[in-house]
Amino acid sequence: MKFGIVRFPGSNCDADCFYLLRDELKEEGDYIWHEEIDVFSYDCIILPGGFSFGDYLRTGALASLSPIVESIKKFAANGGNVIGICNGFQILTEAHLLPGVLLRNRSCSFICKTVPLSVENIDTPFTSLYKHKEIIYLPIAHGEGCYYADKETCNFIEKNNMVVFRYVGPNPNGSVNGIAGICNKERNVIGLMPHPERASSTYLGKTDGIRFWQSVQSLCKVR
Amino acid sequence: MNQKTIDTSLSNLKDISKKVPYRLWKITVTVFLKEGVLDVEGRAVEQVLQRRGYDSVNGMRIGKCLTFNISAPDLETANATVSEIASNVLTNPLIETSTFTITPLDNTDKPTGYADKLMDAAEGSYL
Repeated sequence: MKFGIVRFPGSNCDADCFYLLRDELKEEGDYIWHEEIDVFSYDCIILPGGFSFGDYLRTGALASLSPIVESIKKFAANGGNVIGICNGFQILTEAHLLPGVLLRNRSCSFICKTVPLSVENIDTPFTSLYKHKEIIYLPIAHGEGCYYADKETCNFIEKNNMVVFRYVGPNPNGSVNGIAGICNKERNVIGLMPHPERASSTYLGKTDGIRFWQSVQSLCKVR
Repeated sequence: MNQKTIDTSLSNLKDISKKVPYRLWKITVTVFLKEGVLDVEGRAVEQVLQRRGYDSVNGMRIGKCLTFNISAPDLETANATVSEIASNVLTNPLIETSTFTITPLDNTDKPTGYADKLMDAAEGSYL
């Protein structure tokens, strides 16, 4: 299967994803510059972490206006799988592919540490190999990871089981309902603040993230 | 007896010194990079807008807007304090410029209160 890794000016987790796909998953990954518009030859699109456009205006705001995002909207509407990690999650919310917004961490500081998460929904292409409510450990590294949505939206998210990952234990950034990652109602677009690509290799010391990728991989192989 | 009299007069004196009439002023300061200093954020936003088809947009500059209240007996004092803050703290005059506006928080010419009540007022209805 073929993954497309979108590069915006300021993306910095693109290579992490590339090496993960090549070395751990033995799958093909292409870098796609944000000004390109052809995403339809890919099985899955990844919006990697980083500081696209220097986080100017609002995090993810300028990237969400890039030409490629219009194509990704069509790709997602056709059922294509889209993963947004960290800054990628912020871009997906600004692009209205996912509801809500990511605010500055409640602590006002950048947080870089490994945190425990509960896998809340395993009925998605990205979590099918986890167990329901399984506790996994993934690294977070963000200044703006405090997920916020108004009450009505939050109720909608919870009611439709759109929360995929939830922080357990102390809430690191103050996100509403401890939300760490959500998917859309159709389950093919996911955004998450933790970095599964940084916890998917034995030589990096953590492997809780590898099943995230294997889930996508196994799904596409079945197809 | 004598001692007590002196104490009382001292405390009276303190009370009087506290009762400086003041008013609350609302301050809005805007800070921009000077012309000629590269504003990367402004340039990024301008370029994205132009790429989206808004090619009539140019000269985008992104600055900061700060708003706060201060207490001062009169406009002149308020003005002097804000000028000092703006040039010494809120900007680096080498690369930035600032402008500010001062408006009274109340609509009367009378003092809002006296200095000994300052904290109460500032933390109460005026914020």
